[in-house]
Amino acid sequence: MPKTGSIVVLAAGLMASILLPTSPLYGQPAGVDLSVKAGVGIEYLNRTLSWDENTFTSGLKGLLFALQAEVEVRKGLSVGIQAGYALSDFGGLIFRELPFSVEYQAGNMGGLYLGGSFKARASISETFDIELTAALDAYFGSRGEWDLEGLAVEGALEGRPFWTRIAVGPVLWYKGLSYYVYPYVQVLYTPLWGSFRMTETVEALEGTEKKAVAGSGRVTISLGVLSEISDAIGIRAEVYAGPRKGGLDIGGSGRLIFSF
Amino acid sequence: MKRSIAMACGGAVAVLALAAGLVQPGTAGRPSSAAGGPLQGWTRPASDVGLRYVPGRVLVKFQDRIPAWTVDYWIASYRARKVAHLSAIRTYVLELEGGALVEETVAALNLSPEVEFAEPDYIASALVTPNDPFFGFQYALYNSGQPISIPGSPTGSPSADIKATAAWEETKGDPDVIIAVLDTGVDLLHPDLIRKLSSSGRDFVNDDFDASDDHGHGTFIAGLAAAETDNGQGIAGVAWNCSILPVKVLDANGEGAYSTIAQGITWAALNGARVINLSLGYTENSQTLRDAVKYAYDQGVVLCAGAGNTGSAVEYPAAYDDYCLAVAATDYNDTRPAWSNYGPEVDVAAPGVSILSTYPRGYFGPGSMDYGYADGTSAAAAHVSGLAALIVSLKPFLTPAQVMNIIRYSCDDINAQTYPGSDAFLGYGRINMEKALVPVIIKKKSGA
Repeated sequence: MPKTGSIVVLAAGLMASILLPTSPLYGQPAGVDLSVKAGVGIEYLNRTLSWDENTFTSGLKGLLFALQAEVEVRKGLSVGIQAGYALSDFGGLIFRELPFSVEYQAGNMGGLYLGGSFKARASISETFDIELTAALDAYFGSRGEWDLEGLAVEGALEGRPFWTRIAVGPVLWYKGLSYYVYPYVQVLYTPLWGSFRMTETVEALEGTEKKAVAGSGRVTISLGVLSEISDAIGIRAEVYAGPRKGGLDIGGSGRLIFSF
Repeated sequence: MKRSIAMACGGAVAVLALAAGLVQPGTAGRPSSAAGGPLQGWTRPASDVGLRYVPGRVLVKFQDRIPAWTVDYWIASYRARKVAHLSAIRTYVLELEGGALVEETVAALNLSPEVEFAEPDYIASALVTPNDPFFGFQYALYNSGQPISIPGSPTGSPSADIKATAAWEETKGDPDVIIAVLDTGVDLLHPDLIRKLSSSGRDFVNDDFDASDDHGHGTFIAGLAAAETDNGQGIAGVAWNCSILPVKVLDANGEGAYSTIAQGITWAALNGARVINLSLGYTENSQTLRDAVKYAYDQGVVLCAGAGNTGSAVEYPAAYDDYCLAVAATDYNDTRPAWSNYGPEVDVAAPGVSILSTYPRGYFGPGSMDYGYADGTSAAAAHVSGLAALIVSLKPFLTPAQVMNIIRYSCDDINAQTYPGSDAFLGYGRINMEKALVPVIIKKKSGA
């Protein structure tokens, strides 16, 4: 599971790949047509998690709200960042290394949401564009506190969750429709890792368990559409399905985009 | 320390005066395999956590105003097909097509005006009930309010038990976790024990390595803690899969010198025991006995001892408060028998009245059953030893102090109305295996 340091290294690599001289994908002069986009996005996250060496599974559901900015640094090459607030629910996660085992069923926990992305897009025909996308996002959950109920003495729990996700893969855009509507399909390699650190205190008993979790499936297939309402405003909506052992995780996102 | 055990033999009550450990006169009765009934075990898969329902299947009930002839149309519109119709309650079992997710589909259906309700097809689990024919008489493990023994015997109060069946869903124990039974020995060939013994043990009375029981008390205790369970025979032990190490420190009269007991404790600690059961005691303090108990504790061993059956102060070694759990007795109504010793050293309580367990083969004569009833904090301590072994099985990294606190804090404070909190009679209360072992659900804080 990548630690925070790994995330920084990955982000630095992402930035370096943008800022260092590179060959444009399709022969346009570099750095001549800088454009900026800003957006407001929401995503419904739905992933199945596995833990304890894939022995157990539970769900990760979340709502991610983010302000987004994207700069086209060269023709076809753009870099984006996003920051916002996320709710994540690790319902069903069981901590068995605490003195008293506990199962998390306390619902959503809020936290900071940060991300960055890199895109390279090229036209492959009059009706199709291909785009390579690489993104990294992370959720840093705020500290939660709960009572440990039902015991002969009072007990308390304190927990803090975290997850990070990488998404790398191609996007195929279709430009053949009129009215500025652009559907697309993308296949992403989207590993997800996370952890949930829980501390339990019951009078003289105390224990801490850091539970490592990982996304059960690693590939998602998305269908989406970008609609340019005007030169300055666009709406993008997407639904994804991630096959995993024994089922399918379905999520989606929406974004309102302003171009400058 | 003369004690007596009451037992049944061939339908006739045989009350035998025996010198033993901490056993009191008790209810006599003969367990009946017919009354016990074979109970089929059913285990919840360990990987099933959270809500469990049939994948791709939902239950739907339509509003009364929806004509029956339009139901197929509605079902098709949900991209589902009808699997069954529970006509008496007008509910349809639908299978979703195209990999649709149950939770999302249920949420969508519940927003549909034609649907009265939709819900997942949840999967229920039977509690883990072993098939041992006398399990039905072991109210201590699961008390449904059944008769304690023969027809006409007292009935218990439902839930006045240690919640073994719920706890066994979480763990049945590890065979590598050994409970040393320091007692009069164990019947090494008892059919309900023979496959649970880690070895033939150690006999410090006769100084050999054959800890056979020439009394009966040790066999009784070993069965309670860890009789072979779900074997279609006899009784169930608390520590379903854990092993027994017989250590004979009491002689044929049920008596043993402190030096012998101390030898047994240190030997058990050095020979793989993670739990030591001490269903024995005496009124006098001893530095030697205390040092032996502390030695085992420092070696990572959890020690459980009966508080005593004289209705007076807690006896030793149970009274070594820092190193040993002192166990008082309760009955089938979750009340304390007057003979259960008391004092500030009492940590917890467990059933110790009319307890059914194993007896040495032939104890009641040829052809008799090898099971009988007895009372005492000896039996109570054996239940706690079984729980300690299950906790160690599930969490081998815990220290003895942590295991002891888990057992204390997970108790049900059954005398809270008269003595709220920890008290001198029942300590923190009657042990609750479910609370000690099964994950506690963390819920949203009220008002959050």
